[in-house]
Amino acid sequence: MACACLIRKSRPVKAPPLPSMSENACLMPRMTRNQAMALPQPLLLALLLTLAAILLPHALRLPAWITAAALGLGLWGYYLNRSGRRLPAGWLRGALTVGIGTGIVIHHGTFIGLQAGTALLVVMTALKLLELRRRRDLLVVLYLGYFLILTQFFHSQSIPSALYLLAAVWAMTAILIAVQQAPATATAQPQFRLAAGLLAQALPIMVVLFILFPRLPGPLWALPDDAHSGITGLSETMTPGAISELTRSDAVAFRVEFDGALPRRDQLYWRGPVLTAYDGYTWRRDSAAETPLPIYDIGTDTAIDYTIVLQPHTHNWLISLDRPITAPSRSRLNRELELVTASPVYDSRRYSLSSRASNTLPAALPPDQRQRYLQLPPDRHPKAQAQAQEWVAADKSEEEILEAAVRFFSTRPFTYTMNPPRMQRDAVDEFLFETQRGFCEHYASAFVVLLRAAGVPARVVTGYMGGEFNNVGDYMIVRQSDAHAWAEVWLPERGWLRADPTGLVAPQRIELGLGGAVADTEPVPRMARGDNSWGRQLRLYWDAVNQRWDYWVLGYGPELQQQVLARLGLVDSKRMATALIVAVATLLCLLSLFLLWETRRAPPDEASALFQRFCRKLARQGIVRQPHETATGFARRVADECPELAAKAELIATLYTRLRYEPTPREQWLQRLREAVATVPPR
Amino acid sequence: MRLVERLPEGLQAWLVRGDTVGQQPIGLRYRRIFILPTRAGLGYTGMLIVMWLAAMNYGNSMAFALAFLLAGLALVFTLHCFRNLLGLELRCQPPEPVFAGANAAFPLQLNNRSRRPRLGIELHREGSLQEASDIAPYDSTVLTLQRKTTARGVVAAGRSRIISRFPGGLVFAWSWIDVDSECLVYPRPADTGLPLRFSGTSDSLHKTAGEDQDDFHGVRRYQAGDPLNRVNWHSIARGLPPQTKLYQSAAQNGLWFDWHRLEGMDNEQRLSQLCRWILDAEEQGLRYGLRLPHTEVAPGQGAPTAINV
Repeated sequence: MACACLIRKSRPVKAPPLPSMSENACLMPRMTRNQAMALPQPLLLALLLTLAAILLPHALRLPAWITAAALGLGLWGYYLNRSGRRLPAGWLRGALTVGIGTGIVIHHGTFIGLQAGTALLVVMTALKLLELRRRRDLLVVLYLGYFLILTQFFHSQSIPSALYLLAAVWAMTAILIAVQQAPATATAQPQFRLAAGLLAQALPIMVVLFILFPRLPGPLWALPDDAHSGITGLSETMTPGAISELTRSDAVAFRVEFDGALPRRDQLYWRGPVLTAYDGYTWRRDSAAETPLPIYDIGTDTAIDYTIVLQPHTHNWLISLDRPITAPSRSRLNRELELVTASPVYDSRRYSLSSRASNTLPAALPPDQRQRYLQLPPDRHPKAQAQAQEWVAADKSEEEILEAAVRFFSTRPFTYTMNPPRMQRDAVDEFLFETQRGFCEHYASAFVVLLRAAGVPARVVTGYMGGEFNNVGDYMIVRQSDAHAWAEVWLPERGWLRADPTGLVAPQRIELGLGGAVADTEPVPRMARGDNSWGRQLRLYWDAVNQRWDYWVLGYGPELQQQVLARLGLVDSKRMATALIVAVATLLCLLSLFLLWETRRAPPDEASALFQRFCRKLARQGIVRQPHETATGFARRVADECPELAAKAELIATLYTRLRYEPTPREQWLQRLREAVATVPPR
Repeated sequence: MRLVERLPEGLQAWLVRGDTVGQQPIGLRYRRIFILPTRAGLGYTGMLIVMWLAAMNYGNSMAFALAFLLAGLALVFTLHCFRNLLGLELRCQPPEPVFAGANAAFPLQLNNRSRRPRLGIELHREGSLQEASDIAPYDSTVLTLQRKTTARGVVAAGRSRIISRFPGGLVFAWSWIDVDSECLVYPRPADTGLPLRFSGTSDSLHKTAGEDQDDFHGVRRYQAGDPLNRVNWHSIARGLPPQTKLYQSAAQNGLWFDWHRLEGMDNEQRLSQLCRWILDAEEQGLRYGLRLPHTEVAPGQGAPTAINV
């Protein structure tokens, strides 16, 4: 009614529209320009705690001052946000960035590289916390947080680590959802339940993409050298004591699954880096050996097929069973029968290959190569040289010299121990003639020195020997405690032959592994001992779980993907692309059906439907209910215009109103309403 | 986005055809809801690409898993955002008339028929946010579309958008709606109020609200629109239904607001002045009549003031 408007003129006219809020508006803007946005405290706290939780695994690796700096900056940002004080000026933040960046470069020596990059990322995130003016800044922090989670995976992909980081992703997503809500309807709490539901729905999509999305063989750009430190394993050099140091760890070096029967224990020589250069103390890998060798296969015994999942060891070789007859993809065989890869093994790598123990090429040795394999520093090991000269003077052939060396070790009282006494002056001479106590590297080194001094080309091969079969998973575990060094000798007409001096001194090492070869008082790591405690069984079960994880999930690279796809019948890339699109589309359709099912036809409550039907029936009789009419008002009008329906209309209106508005509607009302509406003409 | 608004009118009309929101409720359907990534979503996609490149470079399975999980999350966000708008029922309520210069308000009732809450439903017009709200399950809310008015007449609500960015803010879903509603705009009241002298008057001037020198005539049942200062509050205190006191005004003739007497003003200014006088007279409880070129309204109180010249 018009006059009513005038009277209500005293009420103020609606306020002018809200100031235009673009997408970048603050969550809750503060007045002064250089102030932090007013983030609700639960959200801010959740953000800081989540970032701290993500930082924690990195902090175990990063230098302490970077962690401290990051924590300090984060706390400062928290304080600024809560108190509403002004943010530090641009120049201060710039100075901090430059200062800390310089510190990182000085510490790591470079900007590029996993360690330096991670440190930089941590510091950038912390600095961004000092700059939270608008919602866009908060988003940057969240994205950086996701990145930090990613970089942690480059250091560890174990199951516990994956679960921990999944929880971190959950928390970050919960904060993301809360932060991104429209300002007018914002909530203060991170949305954990919603995030959990959404992530659960995203999991099937992740699985499909993980299996079907094409894995292109990397790397795309050259990987830096620094990446991992603190990973134990074989290295490019060998010094006396190096291998025995390594065997104190029972960390898994690799796991093997054999196709077919297990080889004999004395065949389980796992070939790693071959060391040829010697300076009197250290054996080194020879870089000139990088000439590739075409694959050859002339052995006579049965080939052994197996699949290895190699733990990261940061060097660019792959372990193979002596001697490989195939080279896995992205690797090649070189002249010293090492499997060399293009990129260092930073992550679990899975590969299949075959080997034959007798695969020896009886080719001639060119003179320059022969020289390399005879190289010895002239002024070292006089006694060993003298011994070798004795053999030469006796006019022995190479085979006879080899036999003499073998006899040398088997007849003298040598002992195999992880704790040999320290040798002061000359490692080889003291070992051979005085202490006669040493570990495999001493034996191998001394053996090769003797042979080289006697004019027989020889080289040191390092790798692993033996392994433990895990019945739970049907695979073999080879640990760092199985690390071993042996020798290879070149004989004319026969080529390179393996000669393991440790086998002469401590044959139990071959048969029983480290635990069975040394005295009980020696520091053999726990899992290398042969005991059968329940603790060991548990660890074997857990190892089997890890093996499956490594084998199928972490080892899912281009090769495994090809195998899986071939089994699914998707052989070429076109079919694979189609399958990928179809699978993702199907998943999305299923998900949509699940989510949108109820909005297909929002089920109105039956009372409303019945009342609507009543209204429609009456409309056919010419009485149309107006939008503003209540049920009772309408019923009254019906009573006026159509008296014979008066009672029924009133009943229907009463029932409907009760069903709609009473807190506990009764089923019998609904039933009566159904009957009443049904009897209203036209039926 | 605002891109559509730059297109020619015909193309715009074709793109946003169909969804007219009138007095009857309409629901937002599949065909009418569009989805695009927001700027935050584009940044997220960039992050995903970098993650994927890093994972591929290092050959790291878990890194791939994280990138794929976040990609799946973005797809799930999209579905949920779509669902947030799908099935939302809209209906417009009749707008209240306003004076020129004020904002015309078009209330839109949004009805949530589903058992899930709809969060972060925003009403946008010409690229800027007007109002936003959450709607609980089986609940409804009213968002108001505001439009500036400059001149008197009728103002249509025009085209606006319902937008939702929930959840995650990485994509936003929108639906164009043509609100079929018109708001009456009265002329802006002039600045000068009632002068001391006016036509056909008695000597009853400046009656303030509480003071009347009319004779008490009786009471009648309260009708909506009766001035509140005439309500018989004592009867309410006694528990009786509200009553209005009736007075017979001493000034039988009342005031005449005459169009023809306003000289030196153009149409709009005259209307403004008349409007102002009417408002003042109504506020003071005077009786007045209106004389316009084509109509004449007899003196009365609370005369209808719809000026539809």
